[in-house]
Amino acid sequence: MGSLKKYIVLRILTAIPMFFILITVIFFFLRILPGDPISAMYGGKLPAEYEAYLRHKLGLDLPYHIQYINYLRSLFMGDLGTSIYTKRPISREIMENLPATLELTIYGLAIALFVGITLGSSAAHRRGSKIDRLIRVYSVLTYALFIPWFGTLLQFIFGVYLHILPIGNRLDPTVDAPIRITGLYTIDALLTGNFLAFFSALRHLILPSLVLGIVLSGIFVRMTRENMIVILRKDFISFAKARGISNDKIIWKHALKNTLIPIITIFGLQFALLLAGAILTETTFSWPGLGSYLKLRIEYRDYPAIQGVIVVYAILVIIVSLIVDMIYAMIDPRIRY
Amino acid sequence: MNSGKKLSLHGMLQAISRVKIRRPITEEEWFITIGGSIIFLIFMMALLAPFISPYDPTIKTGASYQPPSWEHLMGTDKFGRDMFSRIIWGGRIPLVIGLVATIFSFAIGVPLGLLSGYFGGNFDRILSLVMDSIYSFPGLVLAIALAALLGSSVVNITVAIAVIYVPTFFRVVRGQVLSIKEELYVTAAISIGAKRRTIIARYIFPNTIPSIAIVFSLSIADAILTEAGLSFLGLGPVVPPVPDWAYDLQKWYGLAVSQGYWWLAFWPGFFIMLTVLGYSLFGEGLNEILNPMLREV
Repeated sequence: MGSLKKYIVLRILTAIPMFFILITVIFFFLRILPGDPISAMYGGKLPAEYEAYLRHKLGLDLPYHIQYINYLRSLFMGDLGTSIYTKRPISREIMENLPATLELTIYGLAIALFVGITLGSSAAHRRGSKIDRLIRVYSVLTYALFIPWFGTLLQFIFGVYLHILPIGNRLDPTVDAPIRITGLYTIDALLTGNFLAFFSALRHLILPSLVLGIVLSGIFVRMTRENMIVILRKDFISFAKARGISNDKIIWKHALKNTLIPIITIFGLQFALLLAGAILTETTFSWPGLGSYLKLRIEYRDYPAIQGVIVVYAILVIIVSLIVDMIYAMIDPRIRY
Repeated sequence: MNSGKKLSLHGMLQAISRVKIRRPITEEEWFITIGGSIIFLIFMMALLAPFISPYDPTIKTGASYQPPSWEHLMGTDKFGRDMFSRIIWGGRIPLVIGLVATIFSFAIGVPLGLLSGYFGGNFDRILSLVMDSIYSFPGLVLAIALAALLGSSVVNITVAIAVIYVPTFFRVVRGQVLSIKEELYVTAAISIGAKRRTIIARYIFPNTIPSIAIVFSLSIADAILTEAGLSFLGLGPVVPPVPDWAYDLQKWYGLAVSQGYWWLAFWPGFFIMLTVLGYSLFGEGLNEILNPMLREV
């Protein structure tokens, strides 16, 4: 385990420069490029003096290096500033909205993984057959789906036409939210034994997580199929066949286990897609998470809040890539250095 | 599985040109044919909009919220505007932004990838780190940040989207250069004293073209989705009466569900999907033909 510990420490250390680069890139894009939030917000609609006052209030009239230091200092203290719109601390507002996003992405990811691995393995197994072709068309098709459109379609079919599923929000209006422990309603409801809230939360999760899951599943189908095709050519598979192990067992046990390793590594990069997809899904389903928060604040041109959300996304991306690498190192001993 | 499997760009073009004479046979040929036809038709529709759209898309031409009929093939919206005409015109902005943004990303990402991969060293290390950081970040979020803070004109949106796809080109080209650099013909060129510029431009770059073609097609697909996402979030480049698919979708999707005016949301989203599907199929087909990793051994 010595080398694993060393690897984990090293990996955490390399995450720090990555964080700074991401933060700096964001800063660079937002400040150095022509135009600034004040002119974007009001674009000459306000008297020049008032615009100058607003710039001064946000610290946008300071030299760039001072702005950069101020920005890093407040970030370091966990301070994302105060919302222009609600006058509340942005970090608190974000923490209120984050659990809804996490819950949606976890369920969405579970669906994407389940569909992706099942279909991808079946396609690899019957390579070149009609089923393989259908599954490949499915994966291209899901990639092309525009989330708000697909979401609206499902809302129309299941919510309006069949009238069997709710089309927005996290709970029925008559059900109280479970006592907050994690902020994930399904988990909190189970922990507190509140089954009414649990089933309500689950029913509300179905459509949004299905939309997110199906749209992302195409990528997982592809990854599973491609990796499994490579694995199925390996000697140990031929050997397993020679020993008379059934085809199903070879696919679902021997091959799948080895296919999962590359899938986990690629997942770090797919996480960005998951987050972006969640923004559109939340907006379509009035899901009160970070994405809806972001959309609302864009409408109010609440610049510090927008920047705060972006920084939080950056932190999430880095944490996930860190976790992914650690899992990878634990499963595959070759990766440690 | 032995026909149409060509590695070179030349072979690829041959494969495409052969499609005209006979029916596409392999799956990849079908992908390219169908994808290419979709792209062609959608572009023709947008180009010929002034001639084929039955009404002016920005003015009232009938009663509000008319369901599809022979007079209004895709119905009318709240302001009595003909949806069919709005669909025909509405592709212009996403198509242009998708194409122009990707050309920009290509023009920046490819040279940087070539230089970074060829020269290596600290320059390569720093550039790769920056590119990887941008790449790992959700593109839509970056585009939102840029569009929200710079203002969402057509130019700004194009720049915002171009920035997102620079790392994609960079990474692919750099990776290719690293392996091509080790090929014997490059060593030979170096040993006969060819200039660096010549080596990069004449020996390395042409060999990266197949990968670039794939990335190009897939990036346009992605860029159109990103533009649509921005428009949907209220950061689109269009000013109201001007038609744009995603703008119309975000304007009407609520009513489509609550009032049952399905045509208002269905058609704009359908055309976004169709366009993205065209580019993805095309890129996918190219990928299968050009990427030897996946070919049957």
